[in-house]
Amino acid sequence: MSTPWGCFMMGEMTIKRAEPDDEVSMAQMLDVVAREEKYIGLLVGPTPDEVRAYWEQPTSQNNIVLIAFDDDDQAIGWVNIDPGNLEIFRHVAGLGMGILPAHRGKGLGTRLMNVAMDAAWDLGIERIELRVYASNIRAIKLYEKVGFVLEGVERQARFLHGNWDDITNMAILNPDHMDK
Amino acid sequence: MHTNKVLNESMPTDVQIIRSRAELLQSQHACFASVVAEREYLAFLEPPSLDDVIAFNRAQNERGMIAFQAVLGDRVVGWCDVRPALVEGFSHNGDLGMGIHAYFRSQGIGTRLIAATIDACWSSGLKRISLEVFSSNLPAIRLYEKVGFQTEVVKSRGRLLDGRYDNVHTMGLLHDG
Repeated sequence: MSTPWGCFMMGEMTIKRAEPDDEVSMAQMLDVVAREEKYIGLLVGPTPDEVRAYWEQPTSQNNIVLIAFDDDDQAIGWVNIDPGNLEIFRHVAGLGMGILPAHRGKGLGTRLMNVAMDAAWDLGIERIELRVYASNIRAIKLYEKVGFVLEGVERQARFLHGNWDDITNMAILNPDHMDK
Repeated sequence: MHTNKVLNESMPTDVQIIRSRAELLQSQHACFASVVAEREYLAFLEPPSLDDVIAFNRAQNERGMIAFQAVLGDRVVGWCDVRPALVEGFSHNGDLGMGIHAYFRSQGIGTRLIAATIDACWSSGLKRISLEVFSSNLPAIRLYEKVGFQTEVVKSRGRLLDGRYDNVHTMGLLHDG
């Protein structure tokens, strides 16, 4: 339910599993964030067909994609959990996320991360890992806040338009498995 | 005159380091499968089929893969390849994978293979080489450190094999230090 003073309230927002028709929204969000060139590896977004093809790959069948929708049912952010496909890596999932610029700084990132982690632990995942540009301080602080720890830094791993950046690696282990 | 005992009596210098030849891929696949069968060192527990390996190599060659083989005559006893990343912003980096048949380890072949590969990478314009290795694989880590790789990331419990956890190291080598 939206309020007359919407800019002071977070408003209604839902996070749910991506469905086949969501590939258009997903492609649009990826394109916006990609073109900022500061947050994800892509520089332009995939087409909706490419998103659908990726979702339909055999290696994507255990992936979880969660999309946040605002109270106008517009997609405003996402998080994906990608379990490993090789047997020795199936206990590990890679995580990626993004939020449209107008919806940052409102706590949506924390909500997306918590929903994603719950979904991963429910799947039996024992370790969630992510890679983030060292320059992306805001994201690194978010990941630290929800419990990710720094595991290392890939030096000079990105080189774009004459600028170098490192890639920070962070991970969290399933607290329920720590006695193994 | 070589006899059937060539495997036991061959000198390390009989092993040549060459740019990978497609006609030796079947022998390379057999070498690769034998290292996979040891279960300890590589990501696969089952080897991809020869057809898959041939197709993969063809595609990677078109994308600028740098690949070397260690050969004893026409038999591949080790391999090393670097696959450059494709996405703009990462194409200065290549991912390295290598292996040596168990009978041919501890003879300096790994050092020769990786040295040739690294030189070729810098000559081709790459600025960084990355690799992943299991923490328990101490001989490999020693080799990589010897040629200048540094451990950059330690992924805690990154591998789960037969009920045992192992860490996974990401190591990186930068051109010019």
